[in-house]
Amino acid sequence: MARANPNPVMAGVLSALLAGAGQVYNGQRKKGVTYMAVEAAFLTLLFTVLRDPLYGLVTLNPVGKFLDSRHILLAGIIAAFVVAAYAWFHIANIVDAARSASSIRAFHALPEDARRISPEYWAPARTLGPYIYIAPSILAAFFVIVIPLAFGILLAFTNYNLYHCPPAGRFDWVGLANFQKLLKPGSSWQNQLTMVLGWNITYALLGTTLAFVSGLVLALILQNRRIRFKGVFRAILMLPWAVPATVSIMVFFGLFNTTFGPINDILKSFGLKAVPWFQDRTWARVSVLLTHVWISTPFNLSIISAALQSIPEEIYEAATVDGASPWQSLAKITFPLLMSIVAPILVLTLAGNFNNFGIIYLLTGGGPAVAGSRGAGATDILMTWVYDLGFRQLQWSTASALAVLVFIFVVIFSLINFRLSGVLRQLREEE
Amino acid sequence: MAVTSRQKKTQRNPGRVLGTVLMYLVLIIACTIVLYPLLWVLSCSFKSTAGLVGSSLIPADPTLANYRKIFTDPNVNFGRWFFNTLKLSAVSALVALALTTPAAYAFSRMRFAGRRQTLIGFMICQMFPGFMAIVALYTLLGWAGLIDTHLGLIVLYAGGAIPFSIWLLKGYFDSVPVEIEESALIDGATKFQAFTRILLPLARPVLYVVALINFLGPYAEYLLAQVVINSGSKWTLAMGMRSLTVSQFATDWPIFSAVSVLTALPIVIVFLSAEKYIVSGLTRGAIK
Repeated sequence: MARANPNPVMAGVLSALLAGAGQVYNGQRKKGVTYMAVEAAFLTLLFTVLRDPLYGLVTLNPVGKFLDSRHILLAGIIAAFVVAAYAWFHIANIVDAARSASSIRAFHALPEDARRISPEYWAPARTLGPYIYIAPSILAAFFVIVIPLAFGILLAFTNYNLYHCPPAGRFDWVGLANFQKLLKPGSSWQNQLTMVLGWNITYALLGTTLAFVSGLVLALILQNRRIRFKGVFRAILMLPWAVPATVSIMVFFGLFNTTFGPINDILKSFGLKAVPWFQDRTWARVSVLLTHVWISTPFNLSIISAALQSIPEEIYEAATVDGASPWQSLAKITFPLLMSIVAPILVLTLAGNFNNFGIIYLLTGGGPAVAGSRGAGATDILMTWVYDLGFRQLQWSTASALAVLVFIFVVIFSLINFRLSGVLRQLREEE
Repeated sequence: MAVTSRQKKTQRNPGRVLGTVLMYLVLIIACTIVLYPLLWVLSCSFKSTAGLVGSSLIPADPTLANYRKIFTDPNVNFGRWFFNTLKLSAVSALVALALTTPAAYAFSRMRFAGRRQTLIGFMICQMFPGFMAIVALYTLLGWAGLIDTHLGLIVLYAGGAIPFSIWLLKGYFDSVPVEIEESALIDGATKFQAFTRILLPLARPVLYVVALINFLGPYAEYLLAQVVINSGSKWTLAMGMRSLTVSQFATDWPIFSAVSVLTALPIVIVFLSAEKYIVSGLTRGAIK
């Protein structure tokens, strides 16, 4: 039975000292003992299995059976997540003890008993139910996404490179040295970063805009009443989306090829000069953009078509009655409404294009080379430069620091997108 | 009346006729640009290396030698690559679907502590550049002894598909009315039964779409495959095709063309027949 008049502060303090103690003090014996068992299990782990990895995470020194710096770091991250999960549990346990105490005091009932009275099917008393459903996904995402990302971020603060390369060598913490190296004004790194970033932003903005405009033009034409055989045109225009992008990019690699590629032949048959597609820095960039537009137009076309169809017909009719010309209704009705619908998707594709690795890597390989560079070529975007730094130059830590910078850019993009699409607001309203 | 008067106007107004002609012109140019690369690679697959040069789409001396070669030449093991790719894509798609469907059900139907935070966490996961994870994934797989195995690649593909799949499935589940499940619960069904016997059959279209998208993703994926797989017998189609293009010269191009035609064809057919569902599945959450 519950204690008659428990003190919330007392319950909280007791639970802070020993998980479950406050619950026992409240009279919730079963819950209290379970919580105590969890704390006991955690403390046992902390001083046995978790001790070496945690020590390793702080010092990166070989410890126990962890000799390879990468293994030390990985084990340390996993251990740190276990500690963080327990910390979350411990805080929840303190809050629970204090809340239960004040609930008993005020209503002579526990909060979860009060909730059980409400006839809700989907949110009854606190049960493990939902967590069993989500556990497999969470665990898989934890090992395949979260831990690797944490590892990648932490590498940015080490000196993992060719000269500090496990298993033979070992790497250590170096603080912000990698970021300082990349961002130091006037250095070759910083020059290179500026060049790559400039092209990266240009590529993302220009590529997204061009593909959007070509999708928009085609969608508007296919929307027009006077056009016939829409189905045939649409089916053909959607083809580039159906072909796997990897295949398309490699085909364009052949199309632009200066030895056997047909594009230069076609240019010559129009009396134009052959173009050194992959040898000249500007033309290489043009080839990337052209390929991008070819691949991405169908996606834009289909999104814009769907959005156009969702604009009610009556608005146009009203505008026509009021004497609006077709161009006026396009500029004053269609375009603003369309933009309000597709803007979130546009920002999302912009963020995606910012890291559009495949098209650069498989088409130009980042080339042509630029004199006096740190390995990046004229068409390298941040992501392909990162890949080159890591897998070809074995400068893992610099590559990771650069990846962290890329991440910051993408987060800014995506925050704008969340704002626009109102996803967060919707989630809050659901609960 | 209104329609007929508009039609008359169309026929009389020369500006409108010009506009229509212009629109057809744009459509035809766009279709040419779309079709030329595809027809070119198709024709290359019937050309010999000597007949490769030139922009003509009709091979001067058509030959099936390239197709014969990709099924017989041990260096261009198309059959093996194709089988590997199918296996990887299909298993990854099924694993991802099996993992995420129950989770999406919980996120859609149940309210619990940490629900919103987890969903937002999944969204943030998708924002990270994939490269940041590659070094760690390589180390983790090495630790687990999964380097140069298909299982290792499946783990990466299926795991990487989780955030996106959960969001897509949850969005669809949200649109299925909850009342049918509730009446089943009143009749004494468990939540798990309501999930498997009522919601899943109703949500079948989105299950196909998610499976298909997660199949198409790994089908031509190159970066991860290249990092994880080394031995030639385990190569995927994308790896094999890349090996045929990296030589800057024309020698392998007809062979590459034959491989890419056979790689793209099944996907084009599947995609075009399911396009309507894919598009509606992808845009459902965004356009209401």
